[in-house]
Amino acid sequence: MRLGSIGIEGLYEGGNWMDDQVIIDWYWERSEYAIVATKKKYGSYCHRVSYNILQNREDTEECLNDLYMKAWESIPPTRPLRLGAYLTKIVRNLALQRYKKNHTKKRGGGEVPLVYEELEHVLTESMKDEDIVDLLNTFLADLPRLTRVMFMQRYFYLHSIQEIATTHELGESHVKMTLKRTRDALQRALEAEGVRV
Amino acid sequence: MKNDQILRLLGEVDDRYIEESMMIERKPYQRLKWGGGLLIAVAAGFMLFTSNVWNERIPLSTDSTANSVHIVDQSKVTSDISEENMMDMTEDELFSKWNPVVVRGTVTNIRHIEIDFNGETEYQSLITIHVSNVYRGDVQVGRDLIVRADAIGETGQAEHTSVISHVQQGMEGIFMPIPYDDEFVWEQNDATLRLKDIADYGFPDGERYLFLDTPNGLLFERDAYPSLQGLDSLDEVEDWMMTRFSE
Repeated sequence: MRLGSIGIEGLYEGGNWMDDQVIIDWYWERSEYAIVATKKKYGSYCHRVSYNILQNREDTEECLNDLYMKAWESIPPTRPLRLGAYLTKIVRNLALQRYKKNHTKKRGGGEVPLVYEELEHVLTESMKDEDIVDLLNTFLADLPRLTRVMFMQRYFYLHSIQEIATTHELGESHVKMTLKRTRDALQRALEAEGVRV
Repeated sequence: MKNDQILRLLGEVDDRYIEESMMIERKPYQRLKWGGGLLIAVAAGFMLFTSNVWNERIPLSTDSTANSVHIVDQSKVTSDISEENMMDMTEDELFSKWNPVVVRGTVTNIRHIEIDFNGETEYQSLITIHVSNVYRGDVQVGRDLIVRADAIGETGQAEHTSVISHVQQGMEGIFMPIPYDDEFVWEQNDATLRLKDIADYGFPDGERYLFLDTPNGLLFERDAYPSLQGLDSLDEVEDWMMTRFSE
């Protein structure tokens, strides 16, 4: 077992984080090391994604337990190419579902209501989910890298404007303006597609 | 509600965009256990110090097969300016080949990266340019361009003869980076790096694609631009560019 030779305390190999494919192999071998390694490598990040949405430690912990269960149940048959993205997608969906359940009448605190408000007028046409996802992928591919990263950090990870500004060493007003322009561009792209469809 | 739908569907976009926007924190390794004695601890400390555990890793697309790209400190960077990129080109060819954008701006950040091509290490720098004027290209004023460049070593570390080695944070200049698309791929030691994975733009070489306003005056590769040889200030270069690209 490769894990035994390096020790679970440090999932580093040659100075880098352990290769995701090794962890995925453990899932496929039904080894519980897979969950231990997932927690070690991605646990705190997934916790952050979930907490950004839920703003509640107990709910976040439950969400993470659901995540590990889902990962265990879905790999195999799935073999994700990017384990980090795969896990954060799952935990984000779980956290958003839990958020909606907890806030059926009122929106609550945290970043979610702010993000809802920012996205309010982006989609005006009725479109199919798969068409929107295709368009989002094309739209993101055409964005400059930094703009795309900031957009995803806000609307996928629901990081605060302040966190994003600090990460990129930019002013908050700069981040807000970039996001506003990007939302406007997305709205135009969606409207154009809606008319075409 | 439609905002519900768009927020939900943003969770289904391509994994590449999710991975590249992760906020990776640079945390020191906190759980080093001391049971193995001082010698082991010193050896482990040395290995940690010389490895990339401390450094932020840039996520790569599946089009890249290079082992890794890490942000590193400038002190680790060794400059190795490649002469093979310096193909002979006329002034007109410099403006036409690869269609560089031409912008005026200020260098707001310089980061350094270490690329691992299956064990062969290369250093490069990523320069952020805040654009204040655009003479050519589809770039908006006020935007930040991230531009890949030959590695910029520490001042005094080596002989700095190239123009790129004089770039410093806060420095103003006129820059001609080329926009990267999926066709720009660096191949080395049986590994590949899609350059768009690390930057939106790049300087094909460290000499001819930038005009710098340095404390010692205007600096650029004068031999490459016969029409600009007599110019002494960035404003004069700007006037020349505006005339050229307004035609």
